[in-house]
Amino acid sequence: MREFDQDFAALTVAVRFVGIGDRAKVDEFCGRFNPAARCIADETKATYAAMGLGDYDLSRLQTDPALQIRRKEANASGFRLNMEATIMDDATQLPGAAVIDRDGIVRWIYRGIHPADLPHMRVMLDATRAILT
Amino acid sequence: MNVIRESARAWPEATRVVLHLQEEIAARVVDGEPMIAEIGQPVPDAVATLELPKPVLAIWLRHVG
Repeated sequence: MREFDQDFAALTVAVRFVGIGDRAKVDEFCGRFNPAARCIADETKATYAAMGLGDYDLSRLQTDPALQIRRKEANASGFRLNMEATIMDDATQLPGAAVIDRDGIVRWIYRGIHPADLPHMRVMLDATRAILT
Repeated sequence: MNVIRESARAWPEATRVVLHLQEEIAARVVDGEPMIAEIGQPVPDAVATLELPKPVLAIWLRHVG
């Protein structure tokens, strides 16, 4: 993410990460990768529901081709799933992203179809630039 | 006959429930508040409570470990 900080700053577009859990939990997790000020806690997952982000069928964890490909990419980059820290109730939650303009209007939505399904930051930067400029 | 009489008694209640749900849905549409985010529409109330700076790219993470 940090490699795109200047690009988003040049667009005068903020970037925020919403995580499941209380403030302390989200700050601790998100702060490992970004300034914690960019992280927002959603303990009840109400905003996930409002964004139309669904739940994943966990029975597909080992058979979903798209997820298998993404998992290999993540493993190659040195990332591993931390099962001890994974709460099953949260593990089904699908990720997503949205661009919201200065008037509070939703201009772009990406709804993940498997647990690792988020576009690369470069893709989201390009989408943001195309929509807001 | 008992079954028919019971059914007849049950229908008004079922009808009342359906009408109530229709009113609830209609009220939300009239208020202009989408229940789920849609492109071109204001963010839903739940998302507005996040008080995101704008414009913003908001990313909902799958879970927090």
